[in-house]
Amino acid sequence: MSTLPAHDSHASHDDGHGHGHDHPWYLAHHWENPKQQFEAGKLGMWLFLATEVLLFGGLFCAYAVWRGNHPELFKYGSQFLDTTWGAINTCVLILSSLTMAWAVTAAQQGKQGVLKVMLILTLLGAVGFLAIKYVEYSHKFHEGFFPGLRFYQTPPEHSSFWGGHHDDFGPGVHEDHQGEAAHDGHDHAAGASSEHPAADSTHAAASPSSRLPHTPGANDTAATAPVSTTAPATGDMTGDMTGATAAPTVAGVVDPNVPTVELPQFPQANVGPSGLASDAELVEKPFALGERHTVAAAHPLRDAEHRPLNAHKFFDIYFMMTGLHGIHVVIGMIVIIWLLVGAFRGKFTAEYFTPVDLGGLYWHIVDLIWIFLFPLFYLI
Amino acid sequence: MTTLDLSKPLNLPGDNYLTHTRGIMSWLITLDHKRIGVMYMVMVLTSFLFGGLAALAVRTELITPGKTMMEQDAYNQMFTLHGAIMVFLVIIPSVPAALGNFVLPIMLGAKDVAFPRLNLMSFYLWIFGAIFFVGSLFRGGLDTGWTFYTPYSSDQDSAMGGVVFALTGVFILGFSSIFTGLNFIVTIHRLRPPGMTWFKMPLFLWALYATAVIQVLATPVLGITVALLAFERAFGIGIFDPKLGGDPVLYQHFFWFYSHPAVYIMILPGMGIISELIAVHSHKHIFGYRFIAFSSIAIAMFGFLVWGHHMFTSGQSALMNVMFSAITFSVSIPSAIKVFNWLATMYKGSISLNTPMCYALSFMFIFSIGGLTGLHLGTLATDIHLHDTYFVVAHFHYVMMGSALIAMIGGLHHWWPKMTGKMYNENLGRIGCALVFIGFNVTFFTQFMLGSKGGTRRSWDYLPEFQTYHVISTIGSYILAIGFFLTAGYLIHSMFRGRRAPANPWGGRSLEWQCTSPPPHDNFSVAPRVGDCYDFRYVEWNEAEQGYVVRRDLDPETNPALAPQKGGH
Repeated sequence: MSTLPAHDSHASHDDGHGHGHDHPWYLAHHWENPKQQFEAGKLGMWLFLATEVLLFGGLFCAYAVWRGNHPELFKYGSQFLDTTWGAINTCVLILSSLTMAWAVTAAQQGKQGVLKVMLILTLLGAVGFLAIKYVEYSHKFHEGFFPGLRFYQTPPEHSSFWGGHHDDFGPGVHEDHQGEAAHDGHDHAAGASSEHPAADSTHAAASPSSRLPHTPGANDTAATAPVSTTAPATGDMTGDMTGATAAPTVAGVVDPNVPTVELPQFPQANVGPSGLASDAELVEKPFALGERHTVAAAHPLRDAEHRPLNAHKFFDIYFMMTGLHGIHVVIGMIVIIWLLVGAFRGKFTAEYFTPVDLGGLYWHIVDLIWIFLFPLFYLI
Repeated sequence: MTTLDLSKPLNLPGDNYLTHTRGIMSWLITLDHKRIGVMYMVMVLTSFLFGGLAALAVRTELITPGKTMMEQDAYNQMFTLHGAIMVFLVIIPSVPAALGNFVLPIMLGAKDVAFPRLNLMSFYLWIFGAIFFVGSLFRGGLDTGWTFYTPYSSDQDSAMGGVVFALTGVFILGFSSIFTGLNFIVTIHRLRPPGMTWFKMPLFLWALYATAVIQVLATPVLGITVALLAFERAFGIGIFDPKLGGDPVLYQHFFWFYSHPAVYIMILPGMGIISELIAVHSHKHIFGYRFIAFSSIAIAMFGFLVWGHHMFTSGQSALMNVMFSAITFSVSIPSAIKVFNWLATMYKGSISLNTPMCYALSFMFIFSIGGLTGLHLGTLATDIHLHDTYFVVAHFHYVMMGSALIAMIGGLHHWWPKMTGKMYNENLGRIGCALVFIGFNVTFFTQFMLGSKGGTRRSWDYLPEFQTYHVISTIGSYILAIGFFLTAGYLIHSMFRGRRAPANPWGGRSLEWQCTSPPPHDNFSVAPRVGDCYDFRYVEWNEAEQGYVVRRDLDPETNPALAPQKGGH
């Protein structure tokens, strides 16, 4: 898709009508001269890059809104990302940008050998990036960090993105969850959910608590809150997403419509503003500089059933943005392979290097987007 | 109508784009912008038929309160289908992709658009998007309204199964729209022939350029919005669905950030067409060329800053409401500039009431009402009362249907001789236009009254006292349908039995009237001569041609013999 401006700009567009034989082979019939064609291709590519920026801009905007609404979720989630792998990937992409720029220069100077080597190196960079991304993703899936509500289910052994609970995808998430919860033997949770979903939804809509600052004082009194908070792990999504954030209500008056359910296995899971555990140890430690990973590795909240409510949102936006970026890397690889084929056929000369130039532009924007993604997810 | 000796063609037929190559494949894989434009036109008009039938079903259901012919669910699906088809499959591609594709390169004096393959690809993207749209019907249907508002669209219980399918369709159609816009921008920047400066371009091209800018800048955001919504529905990511802690108003912001500019994607090219029609059929130089040109750009820019006026009642902050309201009012300035300039163009012109001109006049009347009623909705106090009533429905039909679509149909009549090489029956054309105009106003003016009295939109049932309005409105929609079917009838008839069209049937001066009807495959064998495309002084009716000719021999600029002799020469 993205390669199309590049394709077209040099398309020799033979539609059965003759045109002057003084035209070089790469000049399509509706252009006056190669310079006009080159400049049009370049303008088209820049416009296309503008649409790419706006496409990602929508997601950056979603990121900003989410982070503004739930800063603690991002603090919590980002500690599970591996900064080392992220940094290595950043270096890989920057290096591949360098080799791509080198390839463009080689094409402009007509240095065929350098062009081929640099394109191959760029392709290797892309492959390396995706390989590292694969390692990271599969690690996340293994830990059960899935996008969406599946986040709260204990992953089965060797779970992968597509393995395990297929039922949870697609329409009918809620129903499946309830059904499954019953099968899993968490009858109490399933029972709770079936009795009070409507009541909890109302709370959710009315409760501003998800934006409240962290209030440790409320935790002790909120004895009933943790119950409903941790319940999502066992199945009651509908009720819990909202009930979890209803801490103020619970702290003061216990809503008679909301049955309180004893969940003896989660005695300590107190609730913070957005459903985060407020235990000082759990919250403070991971943020200490230098020990993010060690702490995170031993983090009790790694356990899917103890995960704070709404924490999946960080991974949702993470998977969406890096996933969309990954798709762009794949498209970029297709472009580079196509350029390589052209380079080995000797298509590109010092007079005609438009595809290499445009492919290079595209590859640079793919890099540039990652340069923004890396700090937003891994560093801050 | 003069009988013509058809054995002796008026303009050398030889080779034109319709006869250049033959066979179905020569159309399906064509890179010729004219053929792609025609294919778009066929598909858009087909969609228009289906969207129109859905509208008739909705109107028929509303003749009586309660059930007339379908249940509530079917009604919800029907108005959603009508809105979604009309917006995404008809109005947005109608002028830029269908008419624009055909006309833009010829008007510009180019042989093709900048990227012909991309052009063909956007056509097929449109087809795929349309297939997904239709597919949503078979996946359980769609009842969210064309806006896909959350929580209707994200709620598993209330929304129907077709949502993700339809969202995929919107995503693909968005890319089709982006690529068309991108193509047009590059074409206008890089393919202008020598002499075709920015301020010599026909105003339709200015309008298409402004539209293309919006398409390129706004549509990606729609793409990401529908992607987020699809993920919300598929995985429950909790961004828009209030049940999952999401913010439904955030969806409205995302959606209208695209969809308000999209309103200008619909209306701006329509305004461009009207600028052409008014000048050509009044045979008078366009008044205020630069003002009309820049007002197109101004509308495109303002269009990005007013999306919040769709959310006055959604719980936006009061400050934002006031600001969006103020900017909304400013849009009326460039819009009014256009209307006044068109009026000034007609003043003391020699107006031919050809069918395209009849549509242009309808446009001016309807657009004025549509624009002015927009002020009621942009005013915070009155919007509280009018929000979600038929007043809103009437307003946006006046702008989107009565203006954008009528401009498109006017443009279709204007360029029909160029596209097909055949003339249609003028009298039937005028009758069709009158039926459309009357039917439209009966249908929708009634809805202004209905809405201001509190008739809520999208309701299957209503209070009995509103029935009179609904019956009148439904009768109007039938008149409208008769008008459109009549139009379709004589246009199709003209393709087979129509009089052969001269190169210049209306007396236009822009470049497309310099090539034959239909144009040759390459548009121009030699680079065309670019003059002032609104200078009609030397355009004369030629009886032998049964069309207009430009008397270059009378023009001092092209005939040096007539140049005024200056002293000291």
